[in-house]
Amino acid sequence: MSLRTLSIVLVGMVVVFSVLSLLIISIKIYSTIIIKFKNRNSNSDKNSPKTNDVQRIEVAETTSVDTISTAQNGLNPELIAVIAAAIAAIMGGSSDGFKVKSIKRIGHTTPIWNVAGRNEYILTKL
Amino acid sequence: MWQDFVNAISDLIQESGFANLTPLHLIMITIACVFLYLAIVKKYEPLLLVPISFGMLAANLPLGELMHPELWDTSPIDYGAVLHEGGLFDILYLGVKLGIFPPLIFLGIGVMTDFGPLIANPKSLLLGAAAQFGIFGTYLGAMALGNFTEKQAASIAIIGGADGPTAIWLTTKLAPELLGPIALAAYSYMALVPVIQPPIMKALTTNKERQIVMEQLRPVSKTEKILFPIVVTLLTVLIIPSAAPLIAMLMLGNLFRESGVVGRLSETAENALINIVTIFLGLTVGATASADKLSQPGFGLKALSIILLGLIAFSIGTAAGVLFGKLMCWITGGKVNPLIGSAGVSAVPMAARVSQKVGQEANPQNFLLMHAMGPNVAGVIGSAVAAGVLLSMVG
Repeated sequence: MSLRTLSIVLVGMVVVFSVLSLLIISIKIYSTIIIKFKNRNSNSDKNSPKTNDVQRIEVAETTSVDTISTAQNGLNPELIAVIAAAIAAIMGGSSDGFKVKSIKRIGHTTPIWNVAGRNEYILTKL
Repeated sequence: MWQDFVNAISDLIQESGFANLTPLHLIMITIACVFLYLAIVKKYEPLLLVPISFGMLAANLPLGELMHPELWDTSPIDYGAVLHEGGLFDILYLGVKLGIFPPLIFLGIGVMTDFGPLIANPKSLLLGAAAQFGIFGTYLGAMALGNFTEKQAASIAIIGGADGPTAIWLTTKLAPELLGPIALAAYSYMALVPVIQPPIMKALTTNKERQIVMEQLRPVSKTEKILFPIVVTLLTVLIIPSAAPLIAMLMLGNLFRESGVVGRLSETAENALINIVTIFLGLTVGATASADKLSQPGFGLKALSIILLGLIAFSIGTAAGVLFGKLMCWITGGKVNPLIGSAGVSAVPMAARVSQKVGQEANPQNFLLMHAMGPNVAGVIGSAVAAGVLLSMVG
């Protein structure tokens, strides 16, 4: 094994790792900047006075949902909105007359054969 | 009159392919038929293996004049002669030889690839890098065998990148004489990913590790997705200029997709263009596997070693990815499922599906697919970078 072969292998791996690490750093930097920028924008939106009632309701909902999401792991505002919307749809399209107090994931009740069948179906569609 | 008739018939027979058929041609035709069987009946990467193996079949029929290997063996290549005397496959092969087709395929792959999972979890780029150990490990192995030159060893090693276009691109630049066996090995092993990877993945992980459920990925904004191809192109090409054709085209395709303003271009790149190029690429790559190569002393042995080294390359890549996944699992305190590491060998999306499947065997409620797509697409970037490094160091 010549020294040159070993050096090609070593330099090659070091270069591949450093290029991809550099990419990781740059992705993290620009993602953080974009997310911060967006948050600042949405904060300034929230602080500005709202003339429209609907918008005010939306803001109120998001703030309350945010507090819930920190308390319960695995639930994000989008998921809560989707579940609430599904309930509203099944209750006849109106958001009156019900209140989502808690969302709990129930245990696995689907028969194992159904799960296997579903997984197989998903795998054939991938 | 009778004599004339007999003469005419015998001339016709003399000029037919049958009279010029040698045992070597028959061997090549048989190999082509085996690959056709694998592609059509076993459905191993049929989109590529059908054109490749048919190209091999057609080019090995004597007097067909589709491909003239002797035109390509001269150094430097006389392109004037290729244009004047070349057959159909010779002219199409220009696109491979000049390194045009693989980047065009990368353009289509870029349109089809969603880098979202990678942007959401940039650390998965490390898994894509770790799996490239397969390439460099095999380079070491091929050099240790002793019957390959440096350039040939680098071309064989790139099979471990599990990326057909990258393998073809590098091989035409470094060791065009081995293009046929290397392309066949690369695409065959890519099809065999679901067979090769699971035993290695299971051997290197514990059942507990395979059951790890990973946190849901954060949603990635459109701005981040649009910036990604621009940032990757800038950084990667500035550091490794020799990887420019592959990376730039891959990222251009992705920019088409994410910008959302060039729907027509992205539709063409991901459908019509990539299909047309695949036909030309497959056909001519197959046609380079000609019988007279087989008659060269030692070529058969070389082809066999390539197939064996390709398998080793895949296995090392998978193992390195899984082991690095274990390392990340340990560092993060059990938040990373090591199974996603094996997807770092590219072979998009097959390798990610394998991670999903093996993970689901351990825990039927686990969905690793999106987590595995991160290392999977990182593997594409990783192997293109590795190809660029090999080209600049060995070429």
